[in-house]
Amino acid sequence: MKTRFDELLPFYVNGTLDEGERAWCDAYMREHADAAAELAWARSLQQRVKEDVPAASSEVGLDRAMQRIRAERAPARAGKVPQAAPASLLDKIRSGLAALLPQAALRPALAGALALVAVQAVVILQMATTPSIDDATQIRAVPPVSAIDPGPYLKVNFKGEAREADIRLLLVEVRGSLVAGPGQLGDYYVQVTPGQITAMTARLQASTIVDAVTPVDALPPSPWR
Amino acid sequence: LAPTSEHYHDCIALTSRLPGAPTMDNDEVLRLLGRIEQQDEAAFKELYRAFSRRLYAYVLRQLGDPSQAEEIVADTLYEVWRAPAKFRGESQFSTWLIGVARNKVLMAFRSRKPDATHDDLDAVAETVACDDASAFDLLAQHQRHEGVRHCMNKLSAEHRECVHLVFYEGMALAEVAALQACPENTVKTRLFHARQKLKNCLKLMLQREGSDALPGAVS
Repeated sequence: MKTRFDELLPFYVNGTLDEGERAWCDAYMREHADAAAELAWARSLQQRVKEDVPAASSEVGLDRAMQRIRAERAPARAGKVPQAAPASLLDKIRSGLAALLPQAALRPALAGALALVAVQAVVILQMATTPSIDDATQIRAVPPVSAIDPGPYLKVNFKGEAREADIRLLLVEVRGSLVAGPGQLGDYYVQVTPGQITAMTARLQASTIVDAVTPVDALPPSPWR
Repeated sequence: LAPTSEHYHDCIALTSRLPGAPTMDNDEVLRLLGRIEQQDEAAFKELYRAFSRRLYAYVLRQLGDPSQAEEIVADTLYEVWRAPAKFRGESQFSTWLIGVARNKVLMAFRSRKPDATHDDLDAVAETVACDDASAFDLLAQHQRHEGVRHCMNKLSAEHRECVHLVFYEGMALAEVAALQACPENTVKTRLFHARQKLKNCLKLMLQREGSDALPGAVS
């Protein structure tokens, strides 16, 4: 019984016991004089705890809260002004994504980043759906000539140490026109004047910067032709 | 984790409970919350002023740091501004509000280094053996709120919170259990031990310094 009294006493003091529990406590205290003394102490304790009140204004922290509220509302108000002007597609994507984000302060940065990712995704998708390009010709400094340009051609491979200036000088010397290349494998295609193919081949092969010269009848297939 | 800041004592006044603080029932609270949902700053301020001191008393009791308590009060009520519909009137608004603040207090506790200022109460338990009616009478007659505060600050956070919620907030057993997220029996046990420790602490103060020289314990 003492244990039950000890458990109920704080709630007897603060007045939250139901009728039955309160009656039980009253009966217990009538039978136990010490219990009444304990009740008196508990009531005194409650009074002292209630007296221990912070000397704070009812506006404690209010300025801080209002600053946060106004900081939150300011961007929202500012965001309404530019709506008079038509928003770009990127702006629309950004603002749409921003609405999905919970933290107001992070919305512009995160939305901008997500919009950039969205644009990149579109570009990548377009590249992925473009017809594939021949590996040997997709990297070119010079676009290939059209299909109607007459041959013959020489496929020329230069040595690794050959400089661009030396290559241009050599082509001028042999009167060759660069019509395609360099491809991914380093192939240059040089248009040759009809009847001069043998002489031009010999002159190119004699150069110290040329690795190989091969006569070809046509340029390699290309998506540009 | 007990409040030890000297600033705490500067922020405590010898006043009756919440003097001048407005009382507000749930109907009025819900009406204000409806206006807050419409971004009504005046309604927010009215609600703020009605509950800030009570909330501040709870947070300060737990943390003992006035500036941190002020920050948590502002943060808690700012959450009300952001999402007023979260309160549905299923409990007293003050109880619900303390629940929101409690999570922030727990976060503040986690960021603190532990201290052991409340550990000494277990040590004094054996020092004070007398537990008869005259001892209770002596305490009831001579204890003052400064002494009670001193001993409250030596309780563990859970015990101190229990005493505050029951004796200051006047919460029922089920409310305290819901707020502390524990069974009702745990609340009963906490309250029992908290009272034992407070009693022992106050008795020890009387024994050590004598009733005439114990400003925190006697009137």
